Amino acid sequence: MHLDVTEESRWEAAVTTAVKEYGGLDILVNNAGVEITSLITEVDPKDIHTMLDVNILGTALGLRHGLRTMRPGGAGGKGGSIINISSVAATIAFPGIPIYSATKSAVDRLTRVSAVEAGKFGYGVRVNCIYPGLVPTAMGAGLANDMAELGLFGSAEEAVGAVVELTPSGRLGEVADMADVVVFLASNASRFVNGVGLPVDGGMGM
Amino acid sequence: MTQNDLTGRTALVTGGAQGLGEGMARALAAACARVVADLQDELARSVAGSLGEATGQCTST
Repeated sequence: MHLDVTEESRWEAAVTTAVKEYGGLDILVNNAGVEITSLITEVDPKDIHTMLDVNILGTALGLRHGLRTMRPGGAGGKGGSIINISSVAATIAFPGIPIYSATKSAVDRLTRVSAVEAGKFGYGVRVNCIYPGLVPTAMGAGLANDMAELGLFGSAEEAVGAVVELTPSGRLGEVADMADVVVFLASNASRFVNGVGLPVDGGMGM
Repeated sequence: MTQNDLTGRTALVTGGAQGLGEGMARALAAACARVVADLQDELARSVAGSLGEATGQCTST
């Protein structure tokens, strides 16, 4: 299934597919995101728009369609759990990612206001977010390289070393570190966890 | 059934074709959720194929 998260019509098609072909919609993970590294003095307005579109508009449309589908009377109608993917960049100030950090802070606020609205209107939907630390996926490794290119660190290895130095757990994150917490927030084990931003960063952001 | 069991639930993961999203989609499937990832290219199709294998060990509902 193709879902461009910035397109309202694609969201309508996606939730319809989930309900009609997969039996409902109980869990939504708003994970799609874009990170383009730049100093604030050098940032390209086009890149700002790209990050605003995918990271904020995309998450907001996901919340809009997820809640409308899961709430009583919606096409799913059974309540559920929505997990938004923010970032440690929403909790600390790290150089080279000013716009990304701003958009991930917006995801944090979207999460909390949505949780309050869902509660006020009795949707039966919990809304939480996580703040992942640096994970060396294609995106995470690219970030370290970009920071070195911007002159913020002598090399990508130095950038990674700086992150690890800030992290009490003493290592970068792994994909499974994030995925396991998403499963927890999706499941009944977290049934009384609502409206939180949960750091999954080895302590880097505290 | 464990507290993390997601049998009978349907999950939608955006950006589920690679990186963190792929790992989240796989973990949800391993917890027995039916997972709809946004599948937009060959990479995503291969993820969908292996997600099918992951859900094969869960009781269908």
